[in-house]
Amino acid sequence: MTVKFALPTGDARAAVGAMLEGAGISTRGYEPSSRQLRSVLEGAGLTLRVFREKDIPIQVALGNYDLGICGDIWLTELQVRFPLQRVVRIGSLPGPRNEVWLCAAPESGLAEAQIPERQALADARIVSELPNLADLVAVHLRIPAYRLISVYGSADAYPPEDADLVLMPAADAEAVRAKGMVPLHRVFAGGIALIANADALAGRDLAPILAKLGPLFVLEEPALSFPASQPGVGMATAHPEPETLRMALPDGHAQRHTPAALRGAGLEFDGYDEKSFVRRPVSGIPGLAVKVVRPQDMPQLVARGMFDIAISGRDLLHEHLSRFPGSPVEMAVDLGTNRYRIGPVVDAAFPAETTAEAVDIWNRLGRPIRIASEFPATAERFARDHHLQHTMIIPVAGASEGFVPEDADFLVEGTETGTSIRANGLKMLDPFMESTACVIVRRDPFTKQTALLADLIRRFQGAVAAVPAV
Amino acid sequence: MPSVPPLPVQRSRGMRDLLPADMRAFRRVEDAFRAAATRWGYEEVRTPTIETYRLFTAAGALTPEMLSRVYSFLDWDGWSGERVVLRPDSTIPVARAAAEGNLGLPARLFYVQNVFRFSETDDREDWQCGIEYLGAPDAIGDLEVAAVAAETLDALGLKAQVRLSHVSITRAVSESVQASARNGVATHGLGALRGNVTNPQVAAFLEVALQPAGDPALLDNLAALAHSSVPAALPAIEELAGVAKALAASGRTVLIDLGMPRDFDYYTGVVFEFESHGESWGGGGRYSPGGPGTASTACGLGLEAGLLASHMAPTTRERMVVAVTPASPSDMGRAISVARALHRGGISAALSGEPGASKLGVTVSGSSLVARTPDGERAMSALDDVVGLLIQYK
Repeated sequence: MTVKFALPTGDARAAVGAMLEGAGISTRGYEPSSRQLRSVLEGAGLTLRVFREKDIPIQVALGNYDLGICGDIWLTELQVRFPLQRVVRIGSLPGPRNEVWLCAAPESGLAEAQIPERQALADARIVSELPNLADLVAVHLRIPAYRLISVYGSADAYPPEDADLVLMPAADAEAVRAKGMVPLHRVFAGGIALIANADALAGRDLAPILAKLGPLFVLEEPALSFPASQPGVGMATAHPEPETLRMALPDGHAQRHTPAALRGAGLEFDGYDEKSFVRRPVSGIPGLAVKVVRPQDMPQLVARGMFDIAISGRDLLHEHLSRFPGSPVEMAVDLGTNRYRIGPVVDAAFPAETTAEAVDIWNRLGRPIRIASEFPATAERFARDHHLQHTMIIPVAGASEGFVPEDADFLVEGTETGTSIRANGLKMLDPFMESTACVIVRRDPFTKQTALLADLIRRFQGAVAAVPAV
Repeated sequence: MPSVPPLPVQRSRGMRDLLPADMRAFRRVEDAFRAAATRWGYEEVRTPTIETYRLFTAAGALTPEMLSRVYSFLDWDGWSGERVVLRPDSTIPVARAAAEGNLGLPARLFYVQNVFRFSETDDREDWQCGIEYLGAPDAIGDLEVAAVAAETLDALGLKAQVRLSHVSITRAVSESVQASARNGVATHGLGALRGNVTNPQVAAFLEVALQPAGDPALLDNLAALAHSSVPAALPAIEELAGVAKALAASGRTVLIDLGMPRDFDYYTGVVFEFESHGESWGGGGRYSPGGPGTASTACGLGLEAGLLASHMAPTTRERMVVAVTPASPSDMGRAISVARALHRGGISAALSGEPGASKLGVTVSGSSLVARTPDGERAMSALDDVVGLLIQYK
């Protein structure tokens, strides 16, 4: 019987790996250079599995993993909303500390540590990638009729015109200031923790691992603190001008192809190129404002009227429309780049080559079929369209290839070349859609700059016509 | 007896099935409440199961603890970011509906509906019989709402006593002590102040106020002390005494219980609770439907319909259904006529293929009828005689 241990990918990987090695726990396959997501160390009776940190408390709560190491911030984000999760926080491990700050833009007129009074916050828009904590802060402040904008990231891009308050992770108050925000209250502080599934802790032999990690525990408890309104403190709010046309450009990976697509359309923005990006590149076109945000958030933001046009992907648009069929977002131009296929992905040894064969097998298993996906609404729609009888959708933040076969029956996943799918011992059945980069707009635009909007769409259409499809 | 074949799926955790035995008891409770409320001039309303989340944050009436336990989600219009909830409470929706429907004041409204709140125990759906008397006059409104509750419980054979308090007394005492000592008053009642009061006059007032469940005369003693300790509490003491004495005069057993914990962010005046058999059946009081600090007034009541129904279930009898059996296919038409005749006599009757399907039965064979009761079988020719016989077993 092996102990299943969930470990974080990303920034924490090197530090956690070094700590485990130092404690005498073998981490073969977990080195930052490794592309493996799962490593079975038979001699050590240990299975290591790499997850995005955010997924670790969920996997441990589900009982798929006995132990996990993750940031307190993600454990707290889960537990404030779902108090019944079967997770035990065993102790703090040495590692990077992280904080969560409630902050505002300088335009709010708020000084550091100032919290507006309740009525001044009425209808406040709060943006956060930690929606459960943000909700809790809002209800503790008893903000009347607040609105939550739940985003994947780049929360500091929104104030002052698109949000009044931001709840964001930051190393400390100085890091908040460095992002141009005013720190108002530290809502959370924590480090990294060793967590365990409660049933595993009560019924499985985890002693060899616990004995090695035991001496490492440090005396730093995570702290949650809610701000209190201060009588007489007001705040200034700003709202977008309908005289401006607002365009969203992607940050991160999706940025790679975007500057070229823009150049093709005869657009070049100061501060947005292959080497660098700033939050608000300068457009040089009168009436056009540009902002850089997470691509996953774009359909939602265009639907809400926070942007009039965005460069996004058909995968993200499909996900949004699968969840909200009545949404006013639509594709204006298919840019044809970033082409990849999305379909059900199973273990290479799974005895089916087509989706139909697989569905037949799944429906005869007599148990819920677990589908892990970064596109949960798309996965749900796939299950419905293919008459899968009983499914469990597991939304994941990333590193999804590692879920099959142990933690999910299949993935709904994309692949450009198939390399990473093959490297993880997986195969794709029949792809059901092809994604490309695209320009999305709102059916009923918020901006009054409709001529400029039409002009931008024409430019992108012209660029696509000039380049033959790949 | 064959039973319904099992399905591989159970009900969602914490939700409630009301099966026939539960519904019979539930209807008794509901009927008693509906009758009492209707007698006092209240009219029934029903609000949607789904409301916007903003409704509950805007009203400011739900505590953070309650708000963090609502079932909230993004529905089909969720692209706008607007969340919806399964209603966690009916008071705010009823006030919203009354405002949206431009109802004139005063509005005497009642409802029987369910609410959904997350709970660690498997009890996440509750049914309530409630009243919202919007624009209710002070004292008189309180008395009327309390009368509906008391009469409902009377009709169910639960002789309940009324526990009374007044949140303005709690608030006045709380405001007379330093802010740091007030922690817990909103949730745990006046008792939370005990030991935190330094002023000896206020401490004496508190000691008397916290006497366990006293007679209305307690309020006269308390008023005597209030002059030198918490004079701000005097109008509330007087108002509470008026309500208490009137309820006692109408034959109710009244207990003054100023330690009763009541959310005083929400309530604004007299609050009451009905109890018997060691259970609290519900309660209510005066509040501001426009949210804390607004001038509007109302008096609300919520009775725990689910709790009352489980209490009533053992004494609620199953309704007898007469099995009307056609002896041959040619008797089926007449069997329907026989069943209808029984229905007209107020007797439940159903067609059956087997004479033994019920303790009461009628077999139809040509022009002859055979009535079967626990006391034996009797052949009868006149339909009226059959009805006359079976009605005794109803």
